[in-house]
Amino acid sequence: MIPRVFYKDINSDLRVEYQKFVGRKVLFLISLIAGTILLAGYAATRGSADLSITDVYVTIAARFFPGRFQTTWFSDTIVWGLRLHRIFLAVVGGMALAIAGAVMQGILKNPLASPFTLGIASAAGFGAALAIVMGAGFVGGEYLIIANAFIFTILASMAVYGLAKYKGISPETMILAGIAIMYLFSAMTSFLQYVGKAEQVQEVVFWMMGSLGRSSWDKVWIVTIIVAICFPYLLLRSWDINALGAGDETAKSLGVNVERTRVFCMMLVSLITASVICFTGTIGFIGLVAPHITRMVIGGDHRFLLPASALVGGLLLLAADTVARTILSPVILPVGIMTSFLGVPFFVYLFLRRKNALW
Amino acid sequence: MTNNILGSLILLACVGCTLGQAADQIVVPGDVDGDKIVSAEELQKAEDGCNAGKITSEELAMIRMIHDSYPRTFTDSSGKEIDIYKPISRIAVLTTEDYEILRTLNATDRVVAASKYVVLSREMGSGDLYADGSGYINIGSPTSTVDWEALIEANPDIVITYMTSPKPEDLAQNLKETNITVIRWDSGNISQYLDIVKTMGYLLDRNESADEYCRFFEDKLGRYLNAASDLSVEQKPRVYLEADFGGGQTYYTCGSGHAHNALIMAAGGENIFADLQGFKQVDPESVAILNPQVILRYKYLKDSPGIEKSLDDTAALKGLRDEMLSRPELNRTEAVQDGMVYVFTWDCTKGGGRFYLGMGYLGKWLQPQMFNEYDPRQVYQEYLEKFQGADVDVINQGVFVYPEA
Repeated sequence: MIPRVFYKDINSDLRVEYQKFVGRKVLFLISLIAGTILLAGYAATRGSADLSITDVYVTIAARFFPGRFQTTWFSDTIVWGLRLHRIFLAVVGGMALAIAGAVMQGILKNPLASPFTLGIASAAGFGAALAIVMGAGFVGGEYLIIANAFIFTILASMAVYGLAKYKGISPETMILAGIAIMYLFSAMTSFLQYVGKAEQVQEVVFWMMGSLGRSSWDKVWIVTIIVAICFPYLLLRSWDINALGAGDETAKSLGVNVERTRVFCMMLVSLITASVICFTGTIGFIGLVAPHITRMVIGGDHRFLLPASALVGGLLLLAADTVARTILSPVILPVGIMTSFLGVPFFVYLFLRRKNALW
Repeated sequence: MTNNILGSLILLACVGCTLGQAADQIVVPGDVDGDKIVSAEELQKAEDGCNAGKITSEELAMIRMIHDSYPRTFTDSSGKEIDIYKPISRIAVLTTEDYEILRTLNATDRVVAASKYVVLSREMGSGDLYADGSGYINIGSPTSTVDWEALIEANPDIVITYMTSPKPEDLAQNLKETNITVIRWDSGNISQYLDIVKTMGYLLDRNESADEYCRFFEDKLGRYLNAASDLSVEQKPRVYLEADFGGGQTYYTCGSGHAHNALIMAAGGENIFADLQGFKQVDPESVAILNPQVILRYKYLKDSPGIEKSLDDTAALKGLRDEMLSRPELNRTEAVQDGMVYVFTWDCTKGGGRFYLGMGYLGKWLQPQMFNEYDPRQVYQEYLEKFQGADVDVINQGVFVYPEA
């Protein structure tokens, strides 16, 4: 007979170990939050306009404490009208793309999955191209392109779901259906570019080029609200996503409704991604790499992976955009270049250091 | 015996040329040794061949002309030195600007193929501007897809295209089995425009037409531009140019080395981003800081070039101007405060005859006193009637800019 005290010791040791384990992850999360706040604070002070750090923070404070701080029209316009919404869009957009990537990799059990695996970027590009070349869309006026990009993204997800449902929802069928949809929309976009005028083709290319230059407070709010609605649900499902990683049979034996989880997660991911790329164009690197970077640091438990990936994504996109708009000031470099320049070396560093703990 | 062989070779060279065979070697009539040059000795042999009845007197005249006038060497806008070894009789043209130059030089009888913007003038939104081009072989678009098979089948001596489109490697790859000479012109660059006209006049033996046109240009627009070029920096307003290619992307501008920077400079303005190279996106803050006195914005519009619009159909351009005026970061700039914000269609930035519109309006906005007497529509109409043979009314219709001066 094993003495009772022995179990007690083991439980106690495990609990301590687990608390340490969780503590490290929480510490990582806190560090990311702090890093994001610090970087956002720094980014707000960087730009072509000759504003001192004090000017910037007084301008920010004046909005919250009217009458207590004196500010100028110029600094108000620069800080609130140009810099801050761009910073917020970088953070929330990066978070959204990274969440989408982490969830996709989880539900498809595929390290190469990203928000764009299911043809989402291709569908958005086609929607925009349709609006630009043919002037056709679901909504008229100034929202024609944005609405088209958004709606076609959702349509692509539904098409993937329909195809996968027909053959049985599994990672393989979803990926194959996604690839088919991606090629279909890419071909249709190419056709539109072929029949379009040179200038229309140029506009399509410009739209697809990822950029935060189109940001505004309205867009920040829209993305934030969608992420705020979808993310808690995904977080609630993080146990289920963990279970899916052990295989569909295992997940089912643990009581997970595998198909429903996969479909719901896919739809939410599509919604999140659509909300970002219809405003920013294609920013592809974040969704693929941010979850990998996070996984290498804190492991694959989606309860922590999802929020941490979100923060890594936000931090990465904010850092990339800050560098892109300041390194060759007044020229603004395409943000996609900087996300790769900043993200790839870090990714390679972790890849080499943690080569046994990738996936 | 030797004379007979030479005569036969000359005859073969002539026949080969007449049939227009596609080969990897340019066949020059009268050239026997394959160096593409008709030497005095080869000319003598041709004369002997003519006397012997082996070639006709017309063929001899051609060989003599080639001996006297070729090769003709020039440098195109890309800096490439090009030799033309025989008269150009078949031309493929991928740009509307250069097609207009060919019309100016009365050389359209040599055009065998053209871009879709010429061949499908009405469908491409240019109304009847290139109505005379509908019979040419359609070789597609230089910036998206060239129809290489159609181009090769047209078998031109030369193909004229833009500086960077199509890509050099695409041209080299697709035309490597042909003897088509590629000429790249930057006809949208005001500083090169008249030189290009003169060079084409020289290549096509249309020097008189080229000179006549250059005199017209100098008389109508050039004298204003010459006066503007004498202005000091202090006399030129600071200009911000926004190149709007859609997609919701703003604050793209053109720096030195870009043809649109040259347009601003030539019209008497000082580009606030002249220090930048080429086409770049800039920080909105920097525009506010540099405080332009004039803001210009061009955009490609779906119904561009607007040549058939009624005069009061300005809503699209007005909307673009209003959007510019509504940007908070710009509303303390001198340009916005003084209402010096102007919008024009992308087509106005194109070269050729568009200079009479684009340069003219720029001049009127940037140097209103200097360009006071210049009437862009009137001069453009004159150009279209006198040199283009185009039946288009640009005085009573067409929307190109907003607001007009």
